[in-house]
Amino acid sequence: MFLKRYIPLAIVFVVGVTMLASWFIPHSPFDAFEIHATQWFDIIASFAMILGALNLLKIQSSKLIHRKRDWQYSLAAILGFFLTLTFGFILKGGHFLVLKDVGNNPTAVVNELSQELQIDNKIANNIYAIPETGNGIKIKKQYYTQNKAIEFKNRLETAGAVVEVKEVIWGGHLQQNNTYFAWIFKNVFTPLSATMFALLAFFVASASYRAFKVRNLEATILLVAGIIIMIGRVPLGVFITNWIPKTSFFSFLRLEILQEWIYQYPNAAGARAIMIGIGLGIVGTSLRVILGIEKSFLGEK
Amino acid sequence: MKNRGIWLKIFLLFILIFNFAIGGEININVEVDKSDAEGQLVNMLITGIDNTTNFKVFKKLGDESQWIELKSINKLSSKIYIKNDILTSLKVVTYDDNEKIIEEAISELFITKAQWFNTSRLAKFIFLLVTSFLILFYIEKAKKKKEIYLRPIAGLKAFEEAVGRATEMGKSVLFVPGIMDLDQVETISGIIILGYVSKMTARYETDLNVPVARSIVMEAGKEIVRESYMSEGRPDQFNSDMVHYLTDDQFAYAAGVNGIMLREKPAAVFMQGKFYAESLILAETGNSIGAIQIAGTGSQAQLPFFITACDYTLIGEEFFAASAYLSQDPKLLGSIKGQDMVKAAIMIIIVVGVVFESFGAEFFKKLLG
Repeated sequence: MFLKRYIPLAIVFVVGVTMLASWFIPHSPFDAFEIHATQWFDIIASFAMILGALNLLKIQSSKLIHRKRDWQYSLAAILGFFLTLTFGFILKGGHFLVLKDVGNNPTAVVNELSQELQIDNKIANNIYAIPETGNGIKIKKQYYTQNKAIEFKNRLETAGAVVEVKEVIWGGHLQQNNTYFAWIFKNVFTPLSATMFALLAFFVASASYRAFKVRNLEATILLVAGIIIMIGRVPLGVFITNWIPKTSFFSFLRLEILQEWIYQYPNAAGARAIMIGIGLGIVGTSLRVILGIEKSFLGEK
Repeated sequence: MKNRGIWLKIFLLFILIFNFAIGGEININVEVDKSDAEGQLVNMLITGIDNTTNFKVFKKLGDESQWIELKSINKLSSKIYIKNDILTSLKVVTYDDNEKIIEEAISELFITKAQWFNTSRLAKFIFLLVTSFLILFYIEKAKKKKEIYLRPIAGLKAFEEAVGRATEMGKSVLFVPGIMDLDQVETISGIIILGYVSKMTARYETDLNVPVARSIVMEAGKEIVRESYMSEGRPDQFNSDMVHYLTDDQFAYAAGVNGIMLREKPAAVFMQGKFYAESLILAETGNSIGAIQIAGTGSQAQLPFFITACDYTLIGEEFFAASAYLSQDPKLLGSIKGQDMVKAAIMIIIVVGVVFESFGAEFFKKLLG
């Protein structure tokens, strides 16, 4: 009971009060506490990731093994998990060539390079046909497999160049092109994320349709304000009320002015009222947690 | 503080003009800027040369033997950030066109120190003290008083109704605690609400499904759900897989939760926590399957989406008050009352501020910092 109840509460109190104090005290050691605490949290979260991964595998494997309903999705999840893990930790790809010396026939080497890199001969000449620098010049093309890199190396050596095949370093393969991890990120993860994000457009349309239905006075006000904001923010809105002189008394009826007023005043007033409530709620909840009044997040009544 | 800055500038300008007038030797003056609470700021002024002179400024920290060039300094008068609590000196070196040293000057040793209290945050500190005092005062008061009135919140009243509906339909309850980690107050509030929802599902013997986006939230969620089932006397109903991890990625998580909604068709969906752009994707999918949806968040930008797509929405402070409302614990209710008092005070301050501003009196604004 002591370990489960009092120790966590004491930790929450000490850390909470110190974090709060550090915002008001710029003096050492408080000044660096926020940075350290954030780093500690990141470290704990990184280790906790293993728990998450194991839980995911456990649940999906169980579905797959017991052939539960929709087990096919679990198979996709497990395959995706291990494939990404393999590309992250085992297979990296990203083989490239280092040109050590262009040899006696630089023109032939430059020709090969311009053909392979699909760049102009002059550009290839400017970049690669320069005296040897010791470490050589990295050729700006990477290959998924070593064989492909060796194939090109052979062509360059036939042209008289001295070339070496190398591989991107571990860690670097996460961000460079033509590595397996970059491939799965670029061709699988990014399009899937973009697809989910793009769905928002349709959901906004369906939600707006429901929200803007004229049911009562509030919904009607919302509809009118929404239409003014939408039209007033595009060139069409300016065009529609362009006939109202900017200097006249009725200039406020110009849609671009009206929408700005709605946005800056009634909207901002409502939003700030909510923000004050949220801010007070956060302060209240934080105080309750720090002072141990709210303990239910520890699994206590 | 502002006056001090003006006088300092006048003083430095005077030295600059005086030096030009008499054509003095090169000199580098340094004064620690006391107005900077973090203490790292110093005002540097080079005299005896003009802007056309080729010069470089170097610094030497503590016992270091080497001078390090401050490449960003290209003006005779500059503000420089120096590491606190280390004896430092600055050096200015002038060069001719051939980069040959003409002359140099070294400043006196100086040290920058951070203050023990950031006075620019005094107003916030006072606000924090007053808020804390009021909340604690009403908590103490609530302990003695038997009943505290809390206005009915439709969304919170509907919790039981939603779980009951799921029970009647023989379907599960889906609880989404947001996409952020436990370092966010909204997530903590979401997890606290999960405790109450899981008590209801334990009581009604209804399936509960809690997909999470963070491993730490998963562990906290499991613990709180386990305790709820234990306290309701239904440990046999508890299954640790009720709270399960999906992914850390925002849209992959949204896709995963949507998949669960479309496959399992839960009768009640609770979305309580911190949400971003995925809020509408989740809420609209929940709407499409006909589930009763109760959302709650402190993410202001997501509130319109939830209000549009969900049956009930706990707006901002209602979401944070949920724990007190559901538990009816006098201490928690007292803290809500304290919050309300602070809110009333803020409202009065706003009205008074509007009146003063309307009449052009700025002292009130200055008073509040």
